[in-house]
Amino acid sequence: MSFRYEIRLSGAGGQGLILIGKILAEAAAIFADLNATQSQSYGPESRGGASRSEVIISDEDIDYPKAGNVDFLLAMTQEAFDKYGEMTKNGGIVVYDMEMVHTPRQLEGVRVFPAQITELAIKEFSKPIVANMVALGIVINLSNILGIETVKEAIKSRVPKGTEEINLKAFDLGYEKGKELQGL
Amino acid sequence: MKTVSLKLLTPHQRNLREISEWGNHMRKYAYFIENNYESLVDELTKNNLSDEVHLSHSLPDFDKQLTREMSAIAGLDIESPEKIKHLGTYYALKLVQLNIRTIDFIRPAVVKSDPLKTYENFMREIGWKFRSLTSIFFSNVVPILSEGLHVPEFIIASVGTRTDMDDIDVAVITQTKETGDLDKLLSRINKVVTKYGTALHFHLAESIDNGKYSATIVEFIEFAEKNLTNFVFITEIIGAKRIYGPEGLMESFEREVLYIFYPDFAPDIRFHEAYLRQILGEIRVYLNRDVRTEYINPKNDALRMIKALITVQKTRYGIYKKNPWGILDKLKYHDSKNWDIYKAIGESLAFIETFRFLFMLYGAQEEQIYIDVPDNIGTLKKIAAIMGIDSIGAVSCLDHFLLRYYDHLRRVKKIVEFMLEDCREYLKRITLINEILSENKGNLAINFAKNSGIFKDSDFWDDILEAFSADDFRLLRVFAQDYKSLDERARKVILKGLFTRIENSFDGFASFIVLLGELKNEEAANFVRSDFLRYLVMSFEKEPHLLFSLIGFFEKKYIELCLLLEVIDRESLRKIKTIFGNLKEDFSEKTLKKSKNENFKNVLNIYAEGSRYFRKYFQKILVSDPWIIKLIESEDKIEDICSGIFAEISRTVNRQQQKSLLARYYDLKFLNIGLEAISGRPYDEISREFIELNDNYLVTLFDVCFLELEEQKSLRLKGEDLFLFFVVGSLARECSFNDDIDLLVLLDSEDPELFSSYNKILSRMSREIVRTGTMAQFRLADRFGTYVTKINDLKMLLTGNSSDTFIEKSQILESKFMTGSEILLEKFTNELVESEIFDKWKDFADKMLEEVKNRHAENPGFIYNVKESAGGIKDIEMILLVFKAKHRIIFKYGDELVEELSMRDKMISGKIKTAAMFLKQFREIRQFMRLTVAKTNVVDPLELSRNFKSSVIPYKGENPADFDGYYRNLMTRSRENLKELTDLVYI
Repeated sequence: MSFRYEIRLSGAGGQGLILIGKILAEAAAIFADLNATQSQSYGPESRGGASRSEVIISDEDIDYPKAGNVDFLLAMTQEAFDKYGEMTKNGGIVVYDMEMVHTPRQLEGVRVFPAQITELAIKEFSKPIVANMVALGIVINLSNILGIETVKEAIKSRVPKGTEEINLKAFDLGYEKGKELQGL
Repeated sequence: MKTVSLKLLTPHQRNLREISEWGNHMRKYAYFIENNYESLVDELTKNNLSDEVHLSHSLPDFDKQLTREMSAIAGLDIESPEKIKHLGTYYALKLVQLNIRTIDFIRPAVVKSDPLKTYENFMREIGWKFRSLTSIFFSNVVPILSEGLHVPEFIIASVGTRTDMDDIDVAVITQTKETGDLDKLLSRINKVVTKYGTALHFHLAESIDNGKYSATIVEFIEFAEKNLTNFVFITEIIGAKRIYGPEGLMESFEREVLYIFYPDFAPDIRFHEAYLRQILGEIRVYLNRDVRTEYINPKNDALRMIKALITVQKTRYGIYKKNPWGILDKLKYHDSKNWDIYKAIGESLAFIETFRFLFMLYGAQEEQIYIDVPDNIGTLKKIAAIMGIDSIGAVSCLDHFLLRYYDHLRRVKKIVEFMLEDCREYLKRITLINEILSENKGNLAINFAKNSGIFKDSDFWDDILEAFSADDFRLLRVFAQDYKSLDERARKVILKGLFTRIENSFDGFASFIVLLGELKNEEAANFVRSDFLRYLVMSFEKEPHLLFSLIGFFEKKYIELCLLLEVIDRESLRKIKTIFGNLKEDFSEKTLKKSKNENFKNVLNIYAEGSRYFRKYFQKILVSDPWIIKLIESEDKIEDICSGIFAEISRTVNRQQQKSLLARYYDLKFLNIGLEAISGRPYDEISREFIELNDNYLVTLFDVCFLELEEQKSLRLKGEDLFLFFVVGSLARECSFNDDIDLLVLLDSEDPELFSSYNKILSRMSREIVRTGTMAQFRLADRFGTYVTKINDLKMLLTGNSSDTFIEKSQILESKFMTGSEILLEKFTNELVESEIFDKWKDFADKMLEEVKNRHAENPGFIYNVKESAGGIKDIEMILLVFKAKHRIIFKYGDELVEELSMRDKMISGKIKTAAMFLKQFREIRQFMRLTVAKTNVVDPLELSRNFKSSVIPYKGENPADFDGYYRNLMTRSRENLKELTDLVYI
């Protein structure tokens, strides 16, 4: 049976969400031979400091590049949670960073996972900048949309030279965290 | 000696070696080349095409050869997926070779010729070749991918930067809504280019949001009409360049959509004006950004500004070219007076764009480049070498590169600032605002709101504000009156219209509210202003992130922000404060933002929690030293500046300048001490600092005024051994943030000229003190009618029969010597104080205690006045003076006085210490009241309990009732203690 999976990564500029959107799209298109589109926030909204990246992955032609029925929301700021939380489809998944989202609204019909993302990045690597990779690990684990090795290949092909190791470690940490969130 | 490998590489090896030098994101090209190269070679050999298709070499006749060779591959008689794979591999090879070739070219060229021109040529070449490569690739893969699909005529236009190899922003344009299988085809195209080349982004389609990848020309027009101010969308349309599809359709698109933004082509100027406002607002945002030293961000530092400016000028002068340097070349002729400017912009653009391109190739596809990251340092050095920037002596190529980079930024900002003014003048000429603001067209407020489409979403309101301000705010008055004349429903409609998406035009709107403050004495203007402010606060409550716009406004127009905060009521300010407190700061540019947020928080705190008395100082400082606002988060920095200003006084010769420096010193230091007090610094420290400030201020002011008079009279003023200068009152009692500065100046001479001179000095001092916002009170002046009191007159007063001299005596008793003759001071103490105060202490005590009794009789119950209340500040201070007289103590204050009294009179020791402890607590309460509530002695438990931070009082709650209880209990205990102390006076 064919599938179309929509992921929305939202937060603030500087959190590296565009990068993990590209990694997801390339992992799907190049390394898993799936169809994938990636779009991102443009213009005034991005000038205001908000950042959004959307990735659609499908094994069929993607007839429209914009996410309209989001299966997975990653919210890295309160604003992102408030804005997109309720737009997540019934049965979907919402993961938010506990460090950045303090007053999460009650969401109906979705599985909500509060996760220590930035805190974990700081605690384990002393670098909040790798919080995006921790988040990516969680996304991959909870969504189960792409294979872990496929994503790792895409990470190696995207992150700056010299940072491969720390990014992969952060991703692994996030992946394990995802397991923990699922109670596995 | 370093050995250099001279091993000759094959072109194929060279390709792979160069890719390995580039960033990880280029690895995918190596991946395809390594995996598919051999099979492509085999296929070409099998079809006798080895000589036709040049896989290993770059192509001298790029366009023609590329077209021919890709067609040859596309014509292979193999399965479509295989064909796509070969075309993708060929594309990857050519992209890699294109980069290698142009970089090979730039290295020697920068040495031989003008580097800036070389960069321009490099960017031009790489730009058109990349577009050409993409375009030819599309031409070959689209027919393959369309097999079996029904698609109408369409074009794919590139709408972003053409050299960005990170992604390709495209618009897909059709004539018909019946697009058949077009979305399917575009999905396939996107998959192929994401895999083998560069991913596509369909921003325009996403904006139009019609559920498709494509949009018709009509849809583009409709969207533009409804989104007049969506400058990102419009900029992309204006920059659209066909990369696939029929020319005819592109021409139709240009004619019907693109040209509406050109004033000399479109009859409706709205599109052009709205776009212009947007883009100018955008330019200003970037112009006001601080340049950082820990990282560089070419896009935000300069490129956005440059490109926006070029687009503005391009539409203004009717230039339809797409390449920025091509446009600049045209502009040099169309706007020849600014020839040098366009040349300079082109050069800076070339330098920064070349750097950005190279970083994205060798480093990472990131805009923000941290300079101190080791991997980045290596990459930056590599790029500097490519750009012909070498190390010289001890200065590394990286330093040279950064110097040049920052030089270009400075130049760009200067140019953009200049051109912004030029554009502003242009906008003033063409704008429809004057027509909209015409008084003869009905209600101005309605017209303004109705036509807000052309200026909404833009911060460029300069000319609008200018129009409202002209002729002594004539139009603003009309606007206010027209608005007020409307019924509530109509006003709501206007508010709703204006406040929708206010974040995009926040600066303009906030400035408009500030402008209304110019008519603060007019009812209609106040009515509008309070409506707007109410709506603004509601907007913050609904959309907390709107506060970032307020912070943005603060960064750019801090004085205006303070004017805005000044007119928002305290309750609303506190709401804003709470909302702000709950906001998480933006992750990006964290340090910078943190510092700015801290500044904003402190300013907000001054307005939300500071008393009018304290705010008055702040406002004053904003006028004299507006830059201080940027340091408001750092008390240490302000302290350093204060020290600097104080030191400057002695280096300045001009007395007027000295006085003005002294006033600045006083204000800044006062502000700083106030901020420290509000933030909970121990009371003793605050008090000490405040007294030190006043002592320094007064003594220096006296010296300056003394010298000024001498200079003006051209004589050496005598009498240094004949005068005494004291502070008395609360300042002498070491009490901070008091009402007035009480002074007592005594002269031991009957010389009229000397008397007149000292009065003149004191008169000048008085004028200066008043300027600080404090009143100078000259004690005894009421009695004698002069600033200076002759010692003989004072002696006569004290030795006379007058029974009401206990006030004067108490002032002498509490006086603090500032400057004058030490010998005279001793004489004054021995002759006057000893005989008239100490020897007659019982009379003095009688009067003082009677005064206390009378005051209590006037206010028999509990009162909230911390000074006048029974057991309050005044009672304690008076009892201390009584014991001071009894025990013949003068010129001792505070803790030192208490210690001395305790030592001399063991009977009162414990009680006097208790009284001193209560006094400290009451003074701290009063200090906090004055700084945060009002300059009053009346305690407001409700207000005080909100933010009370104390080093003296053990009160920690937040409940007003608790504070009230605590305060009452304190006062009762103090009253009882004083009663017991009073009983010991005559023992």
